[in-house]
Amino acid sequence: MTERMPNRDAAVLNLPNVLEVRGLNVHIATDDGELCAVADAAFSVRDGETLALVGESGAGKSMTALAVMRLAQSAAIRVSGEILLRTGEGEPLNLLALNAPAIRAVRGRLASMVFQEPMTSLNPVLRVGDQIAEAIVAHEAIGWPAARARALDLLRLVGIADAPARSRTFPHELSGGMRQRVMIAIALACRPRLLIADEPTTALDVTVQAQVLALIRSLQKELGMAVLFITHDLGVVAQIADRVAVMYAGRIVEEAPVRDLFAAPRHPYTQGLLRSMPNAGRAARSHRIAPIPGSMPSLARLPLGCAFHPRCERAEPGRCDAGVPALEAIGDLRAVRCWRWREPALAAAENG
Amino acid sequence: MLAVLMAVVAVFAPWLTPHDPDATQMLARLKPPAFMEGGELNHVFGTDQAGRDLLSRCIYGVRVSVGIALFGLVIGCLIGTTLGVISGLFGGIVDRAIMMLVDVFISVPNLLIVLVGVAAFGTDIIVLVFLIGLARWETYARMVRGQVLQVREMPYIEASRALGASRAWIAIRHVLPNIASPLIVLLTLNFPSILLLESSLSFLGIGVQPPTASLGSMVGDGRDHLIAAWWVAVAPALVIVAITFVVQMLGDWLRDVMDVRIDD
Repeated sequence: MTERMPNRDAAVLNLPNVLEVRGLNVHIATDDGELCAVADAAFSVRDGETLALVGESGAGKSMTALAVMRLAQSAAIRVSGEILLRTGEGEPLNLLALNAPAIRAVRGRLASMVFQEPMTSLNPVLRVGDQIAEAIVAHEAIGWPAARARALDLLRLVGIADAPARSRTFPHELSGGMRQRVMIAIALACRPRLLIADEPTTALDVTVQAQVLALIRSLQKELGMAVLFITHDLGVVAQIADRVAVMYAGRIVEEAPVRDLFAAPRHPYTQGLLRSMPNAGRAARSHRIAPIPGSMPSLARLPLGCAFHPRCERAEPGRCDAGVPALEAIGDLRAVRCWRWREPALAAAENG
Repeated sequence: MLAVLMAVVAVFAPWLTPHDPDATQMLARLKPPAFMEGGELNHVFGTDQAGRDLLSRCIYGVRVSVGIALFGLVIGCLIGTTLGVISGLFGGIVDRAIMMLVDVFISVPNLLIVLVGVAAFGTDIIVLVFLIGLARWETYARMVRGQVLQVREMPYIEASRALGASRAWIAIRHVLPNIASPLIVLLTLNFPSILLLESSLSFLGIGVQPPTASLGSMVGDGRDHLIAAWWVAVAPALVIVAITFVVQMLGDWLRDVMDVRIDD
């Protein structure tokens, strides 16, 4: 895994937020009552910045992403809070307040999404060139021939050689990496301000994964867009993110610039995650992978207090199992949701 | 190939038939087919009780029967597919209402629907086509709904929603092409039964009115002469069998050609 940890904090801080999420809650009605898939999520992504949303399966990362795109809406799902998307000039749009045609005009034009499954996220019976062109036709007053020509440019942009021939192929004729490139081309068709990537490399092998990550980074630099990158893979985080938000059982438990997070994690869960990462290199021989005991609780049966306390080696009875800690800011850039983060035992454990 | 041949035969019927299908020849009644004793090459399939040439009548019959069945099929398919897509895509109360309608239609015999319709609107061929279509839309609605329910959960549907596609756009551009191949198979499976529906209507005397030849009415006519002159009923019946068979093969071939996912 390449250890490239970009540090652009200072420059990035001055840029305006493209996406600002405040107090986002996603409730899902089930047979056993309503459960809270995302609780009080708040984060922001700036122009040209990549925020990685990290967590285990079921931590609520994908639900957060779908909620931002207003795709997490059905009779059983209730989304509340504020999702503000800056559109360039004027007041930012509150996506949760938009009506159906207005949100359709946002999707794909101002904010796009790349999904996890490149195998099934393309329509199997349409040629890939037409699928890219379709994204353009949907949002711009442009004819199909012109859109197809733009689709060829996009295929070249995402590094596909022999674009005219490739644009006429069907998805099943392409490899996984190629398909994900096509997906990225579709997402970028209208040059969105915000790209949400929901585990875009999970289904790919490591080499292809590195290529796709490099592609997303270079396109981000070229187009200056904000990226919300969802993954469970800390290796990927190290490669792509500027800032990281760690989610656990529906809540953001820690937020930090990527370098700080890897160097000095504050939340016991983040610390556990980093300890459980295989570490190639000099330290490997003396380094044992230390898993976090137990597994993430079901959202239907969240423990009282801090959701992590049953697995936390530093949980304090009477405190950690009593109330949910708030997400406390540490300086301008960091925040942590833990009752005991100030205590020396935790600080010392950072080096463990 | 056979299908093309049949289409050609049906379209160019007036130039191909050796005799006028409605011309009676009382002297040549119930002549057996050419290969039997007493048959002549002049009437290859023989003649019926009014001395009409069976080959000519079969050719015209194909034209009428297949025409009615085809249009009826298309109408039924259009109605059924539209309602099925709406039902599957919208869900909720719309879905339940449409499915209830389907259940009602399924529980009423097709023949009854058409009979009532004929009683109300007469036996015009156009009316017949619409009635046959109306009688058979529910199988499409049901199948299409099931397919839509399956396809709409596919990631590419969500992906296109994430790109700002509207429901109608998704239905036409992403859902329909993906359910085309089972739909084609269902169409070809249904074609024979529609053909038979037309035939049974004509057999009962409420379909195509004499003297126009339809395969069903010809089988009906032959019923009275089954013992003495079986060919009057068997000739058109065999044509029905042949058409059904060819259409099935056509359907298989069409599906293979149209579905890009089946590699050869």
